[in-house]
Amino acid sequence: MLELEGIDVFYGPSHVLHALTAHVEEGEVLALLGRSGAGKTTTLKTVMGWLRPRAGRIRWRGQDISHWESVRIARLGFAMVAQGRRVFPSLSVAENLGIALNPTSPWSLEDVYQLFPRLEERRYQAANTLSGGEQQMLSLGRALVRGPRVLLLDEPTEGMAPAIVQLTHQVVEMLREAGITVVLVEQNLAFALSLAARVAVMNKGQVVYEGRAQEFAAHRELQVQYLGVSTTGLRVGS
Amino acid sequence: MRGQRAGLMAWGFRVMVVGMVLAAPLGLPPFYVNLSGQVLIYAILALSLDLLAGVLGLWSLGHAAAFGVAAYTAAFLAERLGVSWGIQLISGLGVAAALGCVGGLVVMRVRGLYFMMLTLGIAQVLWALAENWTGLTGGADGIPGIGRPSPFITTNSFYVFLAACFALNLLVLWAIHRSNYGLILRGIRDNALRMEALGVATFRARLGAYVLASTIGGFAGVLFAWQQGLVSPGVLSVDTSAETLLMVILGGAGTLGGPILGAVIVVLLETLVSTITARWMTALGVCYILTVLGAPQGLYPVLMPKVARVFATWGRWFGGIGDGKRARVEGDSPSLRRATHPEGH
Repeated sequence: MLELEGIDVFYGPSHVLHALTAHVEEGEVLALLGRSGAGKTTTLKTVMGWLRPRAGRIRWRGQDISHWESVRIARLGFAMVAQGRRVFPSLSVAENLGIALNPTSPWSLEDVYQLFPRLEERRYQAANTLSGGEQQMLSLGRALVRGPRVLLLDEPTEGMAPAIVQLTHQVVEMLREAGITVVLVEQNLAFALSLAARVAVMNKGQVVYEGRAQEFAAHRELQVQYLGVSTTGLRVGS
Repeated sequence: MRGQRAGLMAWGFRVMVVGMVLAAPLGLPPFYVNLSGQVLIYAILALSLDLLAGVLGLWSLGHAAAFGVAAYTAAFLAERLGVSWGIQLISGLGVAAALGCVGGLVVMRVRGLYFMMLTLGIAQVLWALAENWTGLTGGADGIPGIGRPSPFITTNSFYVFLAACFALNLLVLWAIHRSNYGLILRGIRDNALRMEALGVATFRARLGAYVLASTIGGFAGVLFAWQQGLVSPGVLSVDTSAETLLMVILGGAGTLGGPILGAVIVVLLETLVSTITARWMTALGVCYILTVLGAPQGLYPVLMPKVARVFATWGRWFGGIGDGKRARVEGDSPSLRRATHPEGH
């Protein structure tokens, strides 16, 4: 279990996370929701060790990792797919995958190439010459060959075409079925609810709601109350 | 195994071409043999700088520090203490590596302009020391009378020695470019944070590259001391640093062929144009400006495809020598696994 307990994080003088408390069960997909500016990305960065909490504890399987170097946290099996451009632009497709490759991952390079034949066609092409959708495939492929224990996904569907959103959905499903813990930050509520077992909603640097995804999906008033939107009329990504 | 045989043939071809190109100057008058030797020394220096500038994306303005310190070490040991050339070489490399280690701990904490200023500063301090600490360095007169390594005294034999050193150095750098370490360095240039998220200790990797670049730069410095027989503060000057940087930019950063081509062009232009006109600096300046405007990626990436088109088959084999960018990573690789997953995850 990954536990966050009373986390305080600052950007310079501005207080971003206020005694944030949340937990993620091993092997579950947790959707981390909230309006922009709520502190979702900050939370992910703090877990990865890129930001230092000024107070509180982060525990993984009972071990306090709040003040570990990010390299050490990565070596525990934590991986993050950040927002925006997620590839090494001047490395080739094959190099991008090779650099993330972990032999203990359930997926091999061949699996990734089978899933995304486009990537195999372009394996020797520099990643910055790929289209946005292809870069997304590459970053999903990297997440697979990396085979992390805990994957932090920051808005994977943002700005993606429907076909790519479908692919992303498929990949997160594969990760979930392999028992990998996923923290999914999403604005696309339908996408998030169709994948997650639980949701945590953030507002102003705090978790204001935690519950089962089914329950959150079924109660429109909860969605309106915490997010100001609802899934009514929205189509799930798969 | 057909693939293996084709691979062996490609290798044989590469070795032959490199060997022939390196051997070519031996038929020329001594002046040109010496000049070619100088080209090789600067090519080694430029290749070492490219490890920082091209592969890692850190533009050092003080690469002369490694070059000069090693040259002075070899000169001091040769002239004042009269030790054997093996010890001169090892000490030169050792001092350059130590400088890289200590300097790297400082300069690898910063990037961009700050990196340039710090590297420049270190080199300038060393230059001022060489200029003013007359007791140790001979001041502006430098240290003259350095002998060449014993069986390689004549112009031709010393050139052969230099060519062998150059070939060895090229092989080492080719291996680095192709290795997972090279891949990790280019990953750090693209995005260091993302590299850390993969579990790579980026500071250590960058420090390693700085020490390596410094050591190889020192290798060039020792060879320079032997070839010239004289070491003066010029080897530590900002001119030397800037000239090396120009070779890398002119030839094409991030490739193996680029810095070599840059060294050929800069050394030949300087020597040949200066025999024609006293305004050689102006001529060189114009050349640089035209190249930077016309081929901002450097001449090698522009010329190479054209050469390759002419020698269609030859070109395919050539391409494999030069361009680290096209290095291929396929399948599982034990060294990459060790680098990114040392805790067995």
